Amino acid sequence: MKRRAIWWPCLKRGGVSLAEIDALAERCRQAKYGVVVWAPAALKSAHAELAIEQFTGLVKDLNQETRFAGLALGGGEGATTAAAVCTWISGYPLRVSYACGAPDYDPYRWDIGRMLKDGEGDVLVWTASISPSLGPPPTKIPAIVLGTPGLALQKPPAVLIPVGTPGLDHAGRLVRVDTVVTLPLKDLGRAELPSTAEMLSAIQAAI
Amino acid sequence: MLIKLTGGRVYDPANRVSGEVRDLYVEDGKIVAPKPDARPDATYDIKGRVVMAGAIDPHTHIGGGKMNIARMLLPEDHKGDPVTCTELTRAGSGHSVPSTHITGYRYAEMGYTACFEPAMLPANARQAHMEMGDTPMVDKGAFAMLGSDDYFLRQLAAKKDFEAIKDYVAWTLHATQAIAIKVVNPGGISAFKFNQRKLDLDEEHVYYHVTPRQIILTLARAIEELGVTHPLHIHGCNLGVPGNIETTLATVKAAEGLRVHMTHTQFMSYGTEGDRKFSSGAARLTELVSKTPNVSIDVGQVLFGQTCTASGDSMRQYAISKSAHPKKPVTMDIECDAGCGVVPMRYRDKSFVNAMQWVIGLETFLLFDDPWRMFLTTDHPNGAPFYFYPHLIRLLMDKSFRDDMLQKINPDAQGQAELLKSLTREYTLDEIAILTRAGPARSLGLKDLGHLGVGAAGDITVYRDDPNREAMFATPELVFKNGELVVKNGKVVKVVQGATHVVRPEYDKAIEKPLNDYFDRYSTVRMENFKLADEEIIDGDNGAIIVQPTGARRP
Repeated sequence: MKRRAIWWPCLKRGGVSLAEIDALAERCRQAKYGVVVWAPAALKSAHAELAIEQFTGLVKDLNQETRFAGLALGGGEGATTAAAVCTWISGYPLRVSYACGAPDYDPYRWDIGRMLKDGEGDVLVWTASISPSLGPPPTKIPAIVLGTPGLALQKPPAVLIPVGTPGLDHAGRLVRVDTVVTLPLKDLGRAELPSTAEMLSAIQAAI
Repeated sequence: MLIKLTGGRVYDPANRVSGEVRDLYVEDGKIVAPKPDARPDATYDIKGRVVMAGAIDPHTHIGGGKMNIARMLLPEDHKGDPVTCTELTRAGSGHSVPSTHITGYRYAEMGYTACFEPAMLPANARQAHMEMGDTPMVDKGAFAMLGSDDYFLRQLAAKKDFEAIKDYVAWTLHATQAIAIKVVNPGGISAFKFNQRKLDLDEEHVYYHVTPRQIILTLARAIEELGVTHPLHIHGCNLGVPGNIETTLATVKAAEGLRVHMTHTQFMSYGTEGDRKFSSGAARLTELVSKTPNVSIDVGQVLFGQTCTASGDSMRQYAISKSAHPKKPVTMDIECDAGCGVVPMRYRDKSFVNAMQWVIGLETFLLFDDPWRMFLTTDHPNGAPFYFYPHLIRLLMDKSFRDDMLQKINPDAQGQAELLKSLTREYTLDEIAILTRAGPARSLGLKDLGHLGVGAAGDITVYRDDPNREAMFATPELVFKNGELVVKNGKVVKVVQGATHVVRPEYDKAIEKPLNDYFDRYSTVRMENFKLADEEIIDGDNGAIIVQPTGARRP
């Protein structure tokens, strides 16, 4: 076993003095209702889920005496909706495969980025109906893209189907970031484009 | 399209039919008067079978944010129960909180044709309806939760005009497309946000200075005067607390003659007697409720196994978090509205407390003498997942099976189960029909459901008369929904979409002025976006809406 020199007492952690940390902890304890807010997308380090585990652990500890809650931000591009719907339809959050007929959840195995990098899969089906910046990554395998007009494409896909944006071109429902409120999206008649759902149903009917 | 079911023994307590051999005629989705001279398009020979209306579950957590949290929380629960898609049915998963399609198929396969979500958070109503929209086969509906929402508590604290409170309650029923009002830990979910850890019936909320008793009386009276059929559905104070039988008895008395429904009373019937200071209050509760005709109850039976508790009662769910199994509870505060708590739970027959909970639920069923004022529930999934209903029915109908199960539970609990052992009652088919169809339909105000008289919906369940009642109720031979054969020998043969039942009592639209001001000032969503339009259910979820009648508004 390697012996490491232990710096004791340490006066700082991550560049922050223990005194400041203690003061913050005391402010949390004295709060009548505190909220820890984080944005997962902004946590750039590897294994950022460990940071989130710490946030929720902090919230858990503080609730023994006072009231505290955590709030995760994000959910752009309909991600919160996709996660909610995937969960109630399959039983699992995102990254579910139906290859065997029953839903199979594996967030590492069914990570599309990883699958593409590792040469898995024969065709990529990509849907991006909200912002034009959510274009697919470049792929060696053919890509079928159901995208909002003007979608950023690094190379022309094998098939490109323009689809409407919910809340502009067709009605829909959007689960908001808090996962409590779902917003009704109206058809404002911007363009006569089919919804992603209509196109996918048409493709399924044709298969 | 005319179909005929011939030779079956019909149990239709709403129409006083008990086991008579009768032919049933169903035309265009509804039961019609017998047409002996007509040529049916299909005839089903069901000689010797038991026929009842499709079963109705008046309290089952099938849709909404907290159920989705429970699904997301327990991938291991789903991995143990994967469901492959077929030509007809979609894939899914889940044991304690199945995915939505599986929920619908399994309910239908058990002979159920209607299910009601009892704890719909108004701010989350859109999601609850979307999940119910993805639950095929069964009719559905939901109860909107009030009583910890800040708008109501502010009105009550300021002693606002009662007519305005009634308008708010009616407005909520319309806006959330609900069929009834639920109150959960009255004021307590809100009090927990202010760091109150308990709230007794006559204890004041630390900020609003109103008591659960006041909340219950106000909401119960509002619902009665609005003419809504289903009374205030009450999940009372102190759920799960040893000794809470005193609170529950006080709450029954507190209703002061107003109609109320006390839900999952098993969790509210705990005494503190005996060496382990945990005992059954079931006898005291059933004795009181028997002579309080304005009160109905449902049991919320605990059955042994792994499940997940999910409730709007964030205060009490937080308090029991330490018992989570697996150890991953979730508690949530929801701004301006209520809250929720999801705590996975494993009920073990060798655990003294769990065994007592099992005893208490059964005592409640067996002691209570009015099946019209009681429903058969496990508070799915809180007491057990709904597919254990056939097992529960067998426990109620078969004394020797009950005795066998009693032998297996924790010995100390057996020592405190002398009363249960002495109860020889065996539920009859009539009584089961009341508990699982006729009673819930009447209580919820579902005209045309829960019975097999002329004009009723063609929701019919045909069972083999098997002396093993668990096998009998687990696998109906035939299930019809709106006159179509949808299940045969316990398997879905046709997928249909049920309707959503709502009530729309009269109210003064002027309430939207102060409500709109409140939404603008405090709420996280605008009032116009809060309200659910019919099109969302009809077009968005390929559904239909049935507006059940309400009485005239009083006074």
